[in-house]
Amino acid sequence: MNGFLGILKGLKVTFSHFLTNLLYGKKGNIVTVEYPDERLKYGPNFRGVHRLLKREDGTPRCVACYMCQTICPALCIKITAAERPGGHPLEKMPSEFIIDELRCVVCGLCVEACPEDAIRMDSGIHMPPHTDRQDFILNSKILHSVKGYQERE
Amino acid sequence: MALCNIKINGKPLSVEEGTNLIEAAKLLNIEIPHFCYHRHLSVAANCRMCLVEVKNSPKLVPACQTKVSDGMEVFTDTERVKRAQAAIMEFLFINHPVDCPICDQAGECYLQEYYMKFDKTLSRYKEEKNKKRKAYLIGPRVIYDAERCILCTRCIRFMEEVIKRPVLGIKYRGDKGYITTFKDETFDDPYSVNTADICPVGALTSADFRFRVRVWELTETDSICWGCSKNCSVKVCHKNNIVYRFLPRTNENVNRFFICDEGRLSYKLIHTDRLNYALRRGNQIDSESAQSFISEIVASDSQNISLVVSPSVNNESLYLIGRLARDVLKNSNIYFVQAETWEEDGILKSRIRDYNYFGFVRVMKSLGLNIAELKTDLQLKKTVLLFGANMRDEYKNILRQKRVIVFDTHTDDFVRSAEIAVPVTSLYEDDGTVINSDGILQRYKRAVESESLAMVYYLRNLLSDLDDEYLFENEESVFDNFLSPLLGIRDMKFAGIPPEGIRL
Repeated sequence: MNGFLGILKGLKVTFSHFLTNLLYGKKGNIVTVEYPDERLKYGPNFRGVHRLLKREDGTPRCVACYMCQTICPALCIKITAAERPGGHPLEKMPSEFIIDELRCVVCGLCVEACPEDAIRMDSGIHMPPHTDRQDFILNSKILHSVKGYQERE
Repeated sequence: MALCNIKINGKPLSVEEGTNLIEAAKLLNIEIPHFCYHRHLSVAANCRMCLVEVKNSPKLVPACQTKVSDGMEVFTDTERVKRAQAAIMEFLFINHPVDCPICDQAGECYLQEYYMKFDKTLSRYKEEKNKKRKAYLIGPRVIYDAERCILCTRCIRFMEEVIKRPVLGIKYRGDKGYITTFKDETFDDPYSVNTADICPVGALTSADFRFRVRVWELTETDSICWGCSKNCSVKVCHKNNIVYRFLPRTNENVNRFFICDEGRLSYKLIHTDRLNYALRRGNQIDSESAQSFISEIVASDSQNISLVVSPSVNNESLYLIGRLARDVLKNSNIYFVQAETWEEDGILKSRIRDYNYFGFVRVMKSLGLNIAELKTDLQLKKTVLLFGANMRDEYKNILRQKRVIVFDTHTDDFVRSAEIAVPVTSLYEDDGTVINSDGILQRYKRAVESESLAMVYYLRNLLSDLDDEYLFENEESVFDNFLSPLLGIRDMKFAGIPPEGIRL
């Protein structure tokens, strides 16, 4: 009996949306969104695709301390460290920084762990669909080119 | 030695006279933090981290310098001691750059550990930190960072007291001080990287290990160094089946607490020029056909086989080689080849570089076999079974005339030209025991995985007619069933060999 009531409750939502759209839709009160032509704005703390930030001099902010790689519960981050070129005082940088977005569980611990505020998930987009698995594995070049939601607006 | 009865934090303890308080507290599992004190070096007492309270003493005393005396009562966890420890940490952090994210010492740094244990307060220092020279090569293999240095002088004392080549010193004093070499001296000592190990902070780091991996990702396995027949105890640090470094393992019987740089860097050989698959005159074959080929030769043509051993093989394999010669081939002569020797330096390096030469001599003698160095005038038989090809060129020239079946870890032109070359595991990919130049038997443990099989497995197949096969199952059963009685340590089991080894 309870199960039957649940179905009715669900259908009530469906039909109320249907009727609202049908009766008041022309006035712009449409409840549903025509994704992907139309998109809702995510909140500022939405955890989207990772991005890596750069310093003012254009070099990567990341110093390859491996904190994100260490804390990542899904083991989706892989860093290779190298000497920072040109005798830069920061000494260390990632020569490669790979995130496997298919493995990522979007927990945000990498962002919390970063001592340099080099990795963020504030891009405001979720990982776009691809047909090839390799496309979900982002390298440092791609990660550095992702913009934050504030920059994109 | 007279015993002193003391109390540390109320716990009674009787220790030998002359023990200092840090070592005495260690016996009770009480940790007294210290930077400059090192068990094998003289006492400097300059870091003041080990200050403890002693009853009837008006001031706190440095535990490293204070010897026990009868009736002494020591307190390591009073409010006064804790305040002193926190104050020392705060002082040390005044000019420390706290660049842990880029520091290779992070994860094994005393400053980090003691901060979490004894300090955990924020710095009150508001002024500019001292700027000093960062990250430069103080020697060809060691990188020095003056800002991180706490001037504990461990490295200076190590070079002066242990290696007896005092090339390091402190230039300037106070907050301007830094470690440097004396004028016209270079820090290219063959033991220089040990200073990076004993450095409690990230001031001295190994140039070879720089930025390669973070230390907390590494797994440590007790093993030995294969650089020479001294068999220094090392910890093999590895991750994902790749060895990243050797660290010295404290072993009072062998190398105390340090190793030479060449041995330390010899980890690179594990992953270079390895023989990964069986070869027949340079062409890849599968290991089963190689194995059956060898079995066939040993079975059909056993009169025409000579055995040549490069003593870079563990005792268990050597025992089985000896049994093969004595009981299967009925041949009591075993020839050996040698790698290049090096200069003995009176510290660690032993002249013979084949890491189990002394094990070879002992095992073969115990089996009643004659051993002789391979020479041109020897009458070698048509087929040569060669175990390990780590040898000088002169031997290769002798062996090139023969049909050589070689079991080896590494590959070179000689191995590729052999009739059959069979890949075997190296020292770091298998268990086993070795005997060093001082007659100390040590066990090493498997650090990384390999696709090759151990030499014992190939030999086991050749010997299967002799005894029950399970007796030759692996290194452990060979040691327990045959080798320990042979070496006169009947009660010692493979699993029970202590980490510091046994003196035979």
